[in-house]
Amino acid sequence: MRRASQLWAALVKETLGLVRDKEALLMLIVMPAVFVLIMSLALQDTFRQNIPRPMRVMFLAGPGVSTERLLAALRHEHSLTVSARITRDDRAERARVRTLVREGHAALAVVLAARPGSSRPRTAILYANPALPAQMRALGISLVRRAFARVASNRLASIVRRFAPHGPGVRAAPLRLVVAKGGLDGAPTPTSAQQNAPAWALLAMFFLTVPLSVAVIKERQQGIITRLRALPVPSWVLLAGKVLPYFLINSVQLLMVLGEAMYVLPLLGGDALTIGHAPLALVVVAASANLAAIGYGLLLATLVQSQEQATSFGAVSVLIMAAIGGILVPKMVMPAAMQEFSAISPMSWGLDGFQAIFVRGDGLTGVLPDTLRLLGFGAACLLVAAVRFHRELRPQ
Amino acid sequence: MPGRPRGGPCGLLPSLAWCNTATLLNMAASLPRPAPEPLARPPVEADLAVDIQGLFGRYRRAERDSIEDVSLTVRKGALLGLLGPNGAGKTTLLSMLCALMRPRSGTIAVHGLSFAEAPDAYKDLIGLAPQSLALYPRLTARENLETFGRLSGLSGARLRARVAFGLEFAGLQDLAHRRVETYSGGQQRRLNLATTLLPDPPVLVLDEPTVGIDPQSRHAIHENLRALNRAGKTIIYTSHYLDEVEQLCDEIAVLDNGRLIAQGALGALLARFTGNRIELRFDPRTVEAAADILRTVAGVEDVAVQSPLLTLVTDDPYRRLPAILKMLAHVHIRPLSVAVGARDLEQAFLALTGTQLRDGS
Ligand SMILES: Nc1ncnc2c1ncn2[C@@H]1O[C@H](COP(=O)(O)OP(=O)(O)OP(=O)(O)O)[C@@H](O)[C@H]1O
Ligand SMILES: [Mg+2]
Repeated sequence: MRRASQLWAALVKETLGLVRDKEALLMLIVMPAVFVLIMSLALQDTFRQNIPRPMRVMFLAGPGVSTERLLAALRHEHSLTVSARITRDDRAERARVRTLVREGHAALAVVLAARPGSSRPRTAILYANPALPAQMRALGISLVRRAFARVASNRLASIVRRFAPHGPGVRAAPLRLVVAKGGLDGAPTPTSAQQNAPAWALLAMFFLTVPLSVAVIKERQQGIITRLRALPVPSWVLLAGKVLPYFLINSVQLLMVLGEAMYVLPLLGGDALTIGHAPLALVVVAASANLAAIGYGLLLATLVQSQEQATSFGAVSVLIMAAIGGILVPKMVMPAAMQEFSAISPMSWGLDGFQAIFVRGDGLTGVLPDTLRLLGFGAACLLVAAVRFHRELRPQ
Repeated sequence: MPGRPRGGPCGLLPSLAWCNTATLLNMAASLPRPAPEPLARPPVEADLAVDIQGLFGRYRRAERDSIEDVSLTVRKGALLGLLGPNGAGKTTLLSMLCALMRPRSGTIAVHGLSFAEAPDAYKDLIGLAPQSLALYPRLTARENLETFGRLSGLSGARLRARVAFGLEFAGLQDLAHRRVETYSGGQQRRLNLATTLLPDPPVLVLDEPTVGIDPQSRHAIHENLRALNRAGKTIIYTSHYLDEVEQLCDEIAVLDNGRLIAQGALGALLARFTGNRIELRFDPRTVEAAADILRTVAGVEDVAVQSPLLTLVTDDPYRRLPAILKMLAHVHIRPLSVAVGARDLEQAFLALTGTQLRDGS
């Protein structure tokens, strides 16, 4: 009974303190709401890829007539920049080309299997970079298809001219294009809103580190902590009192941002956010990201010594996490090595979790790994913060 | 301030008023030397609100103890003034009493209970008003009182009643709904004190609760504290306003450099300094010469100069005064005034702790 009443008091005072902190509210709620709108609209076309830049295509084939024709047809496409490698021994080259595409050095690769002497249709395999936005990928594939079609129609024309006995078209085998599935097949990519809404919501969540640690420092500086330490109230009650209000404000913020991206963004000419069909998974990912953010905030609060440290170190560390984690810069525009590195940022786990639900349509099982990472991180931070806070409150 | 009326338990002040030299000489011959009151004897254990024995305390990474071998008992219902220059260790001692700081060695019992025995029950016994303001600036007075009330374990009707009492005590009923950050310094101080009283603990520990408060509020606070004390509360009160301590407290403890250098009834403490001190006022141009001469007078143990004042410590001022005045007359130096005994607590305090600045020691 006593503990419940104490917990209530701790909750109320933190909530009132937070709700009356205009700067904190500005940062935690208004900032993401504004950013989501601006950034979703600003990056709309980058994600739609309406104006394609020349796409790099690698072309690997053995020497021969078909190769030359195909290469010419590919080079004919203005939106493609072709770099060709013509070699008889293409075994080692194939692996290299696939790696180059996977790592993003080229958007596409066309590999023409060398099968000399066969009269059956020769198969060309098209590989696409997995990180390529869906629209761009589709465009690339259709351009390559067009080149193939051009070769085929030329061949048809030469069959019609079958009386020219040494015409090259007769000797060339028919061509077939297969788009590679599996490992190199690109996953669907997020829309602008699917990237920006969860990204800025996550950034704002983690930004609570600043007001949270400033509040803790102020309690310490104003001597309030002395009074608290003299009262018969355990440290966990005071800590719990800090967790809940921030959890609530983060949840409100996320709901607002998602709602805004779903219903306000289309009014402004943007693409509405689609959030998949797994509300439970969404709640689970949101709650774990929330806890991770609060854990980090509390940890920092128990580590820093002054308000200046709290604001500068809090903000800088969160921005670095965001930059690494694909929040400030979408992961799909990062080079492959950077994309792998981004996995160390808790914000990247959160973003991956949200996008698994939004983009891939995943459910609970799909978001489990990211959820566990977030919860583990949050729990570890909370534990250290709780120990440090307890040490600070007990007799020194 | 001659003949200042005094109320309460500290009404008797065996000190002499300022008067001219001739009168004083006559009086010196006729007046009996006032007998010092015996220092209060330590009461039996059941009567003790606070029992501190052999206490040492040191801050982390500090080179020396901030509290050294302090033994202090406070009986239930006492109103103890804890005095000491800046850095003497008052806040440190109170921190250990309130279980904020762990003693390096020694024992502390409050109402016979030690912190280790029952931490929550121990904390329930004590209300601390910290030296620095301990309020949430973004919350209103009422919200602050409610928060700390609940955190102290109050709830329901009792909480409401105590919050109403706290607002009245602080005189903030009309401002109860305004944020504390909009209050004046004095209003915040009053609320700081009221917050401490909320759970109604038997022992109140007040670390400089009246800093920056106007005389009206101070008077009101003192009235309230006296009433609480009459109702049985034990109050430990630190302040640098010695006149306020003199009016309020019936017992005094003096800390200096982490050591307890005096404890006892206010009257007894003052009496101790009535007996051996003479203060003379000179023309500033002659004070040094006078000091040089007076150092040679038999029975004068110490001469301190604070121009134009000169303070002598003697074995028996009434016996030595004629010789002192005769000596001065001999070299044609006339004191402007002469006083025997400690005028007030401030003088007693300075006599005990010296006049050197203590900060940074
Ligand atoms: N946190 C601390 N760490 C190290 N030393 C400290 C700390 N706080 C106080 N001290 C030292 O302990 C000694 C006693 O300080 P304390 O605050 O108890 O004095 P005080 O009597 O309350 O002084 P004041 O009248 O100025 O409030 C001083 O020498 C001070 O420098
Ligand atoms: Mg102090």
